[in-house]
Amino acid sequence: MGPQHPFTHGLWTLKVKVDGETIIDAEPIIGYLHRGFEKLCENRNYPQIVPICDRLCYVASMSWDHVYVSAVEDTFDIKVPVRGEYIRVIALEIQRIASHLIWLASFMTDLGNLTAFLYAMREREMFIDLLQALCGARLTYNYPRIGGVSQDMPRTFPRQCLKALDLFEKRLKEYEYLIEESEVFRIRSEGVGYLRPSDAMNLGVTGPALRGSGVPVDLRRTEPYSAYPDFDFEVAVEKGCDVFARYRVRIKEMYESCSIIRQALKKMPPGPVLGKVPRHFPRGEGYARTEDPRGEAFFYIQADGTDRPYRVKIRSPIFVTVSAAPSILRGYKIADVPSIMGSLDMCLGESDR
Amino acid sequence: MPDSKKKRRVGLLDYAFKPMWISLRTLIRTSLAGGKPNTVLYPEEKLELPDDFRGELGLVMDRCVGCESCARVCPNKCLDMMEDDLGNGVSKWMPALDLAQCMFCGLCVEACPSTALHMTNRYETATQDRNDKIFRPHEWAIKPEEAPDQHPLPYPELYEINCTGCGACDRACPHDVIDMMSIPGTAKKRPNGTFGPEKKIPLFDYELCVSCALCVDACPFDALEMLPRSTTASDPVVQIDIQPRAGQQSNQEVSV
Repeated sequence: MGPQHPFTHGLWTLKVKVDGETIIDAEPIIGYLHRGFEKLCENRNYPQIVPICDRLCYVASMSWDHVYVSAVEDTFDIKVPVRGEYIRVIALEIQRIASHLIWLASFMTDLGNLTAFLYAMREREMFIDLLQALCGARLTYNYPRIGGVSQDMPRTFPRQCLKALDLFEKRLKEYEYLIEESEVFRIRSEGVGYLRPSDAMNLGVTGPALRGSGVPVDLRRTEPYSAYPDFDFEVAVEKGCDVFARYRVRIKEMYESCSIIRQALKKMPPGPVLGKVPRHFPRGEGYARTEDPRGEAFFYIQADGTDRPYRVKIRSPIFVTVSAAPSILRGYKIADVPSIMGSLDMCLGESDR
Repeated sequence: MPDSKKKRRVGLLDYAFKPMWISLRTLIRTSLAGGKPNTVLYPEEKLELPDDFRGELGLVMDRCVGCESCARVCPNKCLDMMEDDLGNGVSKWMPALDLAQCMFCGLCVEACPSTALHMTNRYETATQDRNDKIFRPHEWAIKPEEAPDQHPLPYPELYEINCTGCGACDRACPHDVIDMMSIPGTAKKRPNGTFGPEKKIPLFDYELCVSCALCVDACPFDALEMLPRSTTASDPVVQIDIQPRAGQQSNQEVSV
C-alpha cells in the first residue's frame, strides 16, 4: 500500500504480508520525503534555521520551532523572559489543538465519517486564525526566536482567544457525541489495533499512542520545560490500548490544552518577550525534549564556536511510532489498516526529515 | 464530556427533527437578504488579514541605506544587492529580490535597520513565468505610506568594559565610520621602566554610519550593541567609562 494511497496521509509505503485477509507481517518503508534536513542545518547560522524547522512537520510547525529554539537556549544558557515563555506555551497549545483537529479530520475521513472531517477543519480554521494574529503567517509561523518570541501578542488577542475556546469546547462536546455514538466507528475502533503497554515501552512509542496504552508519560509533567510547571493540568491516559483509546486520549488532550491556554492568559505577566542573545556563540552542546502533539520530539545541537551548528540530530516521534506498526498490525484484517495507522497520526515531514 | 463507555439513548426527536431543524435554520440564515454564508466566496471577497501579515515583500527605496543586512540574513539567498535608479536620476545600492525563492520568513524585515523592508498584505503571487518573479529594486518598491511601522535607526554603542581595543570593528567597517583612538594615560608601565601601548577604543562618526551592524558581528568580545539612537548626527558623543584610577578622572567625554 502506498506511496500514493488514500490512507497514507503522506508519502510512505506499507508492505503487508497477508494470509487471506489476515495480516501476518508488515513493513513500513519511509524516506520519500527526505530533504537532508540535518545537513541543511549545518550550512545555516542559528537564527536562519528557525524558519526551516517550520517545514519539519507541516501540521505542527510551532512545536518544532520551539524544540529547536529551546535546544539552542540550552546549549548557550540563554535566559528567556517569563512573558516570552507564557506566550510560547499559549502558541504551543493552540498548535496542539490545531494538530489534533487535523488528525481528527483525516482519521474520520479514513473511517468514512465525512461530516466530522468538515467540522474539524472548520474549527481548525479558528485556531489557525489565532496563530495568524500572533505571528502573521498561517502555516509556517517562524514565531519563536532564540531567547523568546519575535513579537508580543496583539492587544485584542486574549479576548479573541477566549472567544474561540468557548465556542470550541461547546462544539467539541457535540462532535464527541456525533463520533462516539456512531455504531460503525465503535466497531472499527474498539478492540482494534491492540498495543500492549510493554510493547509500546520497548519499541519507544511516545505520545498519545503510549498514553492510550495506559502509560502515563507526558514530558510536560514528567520533565517539565518552558512554563509548564506553572500550570495545572491532567495527563490524559486511557487503558484501552486500542484505536478508540488513542482517539480518546487526543480528545482529552484538546480539553486540557484549552484549560492550559485559559490559565496562561489569566496569569500572563508583563515584561519583555525577547531576551538578550549574544552575537557570538561559544562551543558547547545541548538538547531539548518536548511533548510534540505526536510524541516526544528531541533536538540535539553541537556547537563548534562558529555561527553554524556542527551537528544537529532530530528525534522524530513518528519515525519511532511507525517502526512499531508491524507489532500493532499483526493479526488484524487488512481492512483495519487505515483505522490502525490513522490512529497513530502519521506525519512524514518530520520522520523523513 | 460524555462518558465514553455508556451509550446514550437517542429519541425520535433527536434522530429526525433536530437535524432537520438545524439545516432549515442554516438555510434560512444564509439565504435570506442580509444573511451571511458560512464560507468566504474567495475571488470576490477575501478574509481580513492582520496588520502584521507576512505577504509579498516590499521595499521603500527612500529609506534604504544599502547596508546589506537583509542580503546577509536571508536563509534562501533570495536578496542580492545591485545599483538601481530611484526614478529621479539618482542611483543607489539596493537589494534585488527573487520572490520565487522567498519563503516569507520575515527575517530580513527584522534585520533591516531603517525599516525600508515591509511585508505587504499581498499574497496572490502566482505568475506564468518564473522570471517574472525576479525583481530589480525599483520593481518591488512600495510607497512609504504602505510601511507605516517606523522606528529610529539603531547605531552601534560601546560597552567600554568589554572592549580590548583590538580594532576588529575598525577593519570590518566598510564606510570608515570607526576610528581607533588611544586613551592617554592608560599605558601600563613595564618592569624595565618603559611604557607599553596605550589602550585604544573605537570612536564612531555617526554621520557616515549606515547601521549595517558589521562591526557588531566582527567584535569578538560582544562589546558593541546596536541600539536605537535619537541623537544621530547632531550630538556625536561617546561615553567612555574608564576604571577609576589614582590621579585620573573617572569619566571622560570625548567629542569626535
